[in-house]
Amino acid sequence: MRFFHPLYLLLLLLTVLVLISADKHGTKHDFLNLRRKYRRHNCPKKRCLPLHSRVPFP
Amino acid sequence: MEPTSEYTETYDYYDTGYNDSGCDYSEWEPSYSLIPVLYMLIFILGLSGNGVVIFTVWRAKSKRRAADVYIGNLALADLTFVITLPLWAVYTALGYHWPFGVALCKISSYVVLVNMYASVFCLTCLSFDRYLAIVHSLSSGRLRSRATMLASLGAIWFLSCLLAVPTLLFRTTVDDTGSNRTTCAMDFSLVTLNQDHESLWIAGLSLSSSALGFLLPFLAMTVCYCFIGCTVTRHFSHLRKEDQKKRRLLKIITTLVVVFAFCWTPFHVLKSMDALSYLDLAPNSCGFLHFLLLAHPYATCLAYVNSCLNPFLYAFFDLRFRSQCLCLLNLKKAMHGHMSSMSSTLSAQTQKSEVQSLATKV
Repeated sequence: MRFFHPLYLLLLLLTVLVLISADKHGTKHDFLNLRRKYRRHNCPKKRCLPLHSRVPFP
Repeated sequence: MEPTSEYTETYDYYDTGYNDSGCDYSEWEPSYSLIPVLYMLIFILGLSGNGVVIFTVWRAKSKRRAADVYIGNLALADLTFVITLPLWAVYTALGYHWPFGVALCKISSYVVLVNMYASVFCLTCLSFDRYLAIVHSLSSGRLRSRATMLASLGAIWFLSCLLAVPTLLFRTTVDDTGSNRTTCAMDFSLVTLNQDHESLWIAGLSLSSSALGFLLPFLAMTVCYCFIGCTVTRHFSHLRKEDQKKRRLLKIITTLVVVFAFCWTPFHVLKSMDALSYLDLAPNSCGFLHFLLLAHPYATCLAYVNSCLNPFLYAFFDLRFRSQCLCLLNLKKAMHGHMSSMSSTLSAQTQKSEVQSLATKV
């Protein structure tokens, strides 16, 4: 088990470096790119997308 | 479809305090693919499962119980409820663009709503039938007669058709010039004078459909089961064989009601919150409306799931139904000569089932 301790420390160090590098480039973390998978709708009115326009219920 | 936009920064939605102020909504892009897939899965399962139920109830050789007739009608309502799902799957996949014309927009919406009401009304009558059979078993003979049952079924379908008429009148296609899309939505311009008046119509229809299509029936079912629970508890130690069969059927129907509540509650809660926000009785901020917009399609999927779960519930809990279904399937094979050696056994099983059915007297 002592043999793996340096490996654990090395892995932890690499993780920290990756996080610092990401912050340096001014990018924020976007897990699985979920933030980029959004479709934006600009609505002139607050309720331009009523619920009844998407499902067959009133 | 609109091209996908990419953002590298977050943005917050805020309420400017004005009713007509704009909002920016961001929808999760995979929903346009995920929801149609869910719709099609529900369609396939609902069509096949409810078809089997209808076939089994119709072809059952043993005497039909009152509950079986209600279950058959429930299956018919569920089947018709899901039959329009491919249209709504395409609608969603195209980014809420309706390419099927005004007629199908009206008809498919009307059919869905008729069968939503019919489904919940059948379940309510099923619960009331159990209440009569258990709590008033000695004095409910007339109320549980065939004529009364047929009358109640007629009333169910008539009332469902009537309650769904507003959607037939107001549902139409609306062209959105900004996005070059046509939506299938409610258009109240013929009966409204201004935007406030339209808000009242939207809220009124939404709340009334939730009250009549969920809240009141669910309360009625709850009352029935409270009385049934009291009666069963009181006589638990003196259950006869016939009463145990009643209790088994009671368990099946109770499960149907619980599953119904689980599937439909989120949908009606979200819809009612949206309606209340039109009346300024619920939050009206952009963030809240955004949450409703994101959650509502998935709540609708969960509501549709109820239509394809019922057949599996029968198969798991109702031994009589399962026996009948297996007999019918095996008899079909026997007719083709594949299972001739088992025909005598199946015949004996059928006779045994019929004897048990007569003994049930439910």
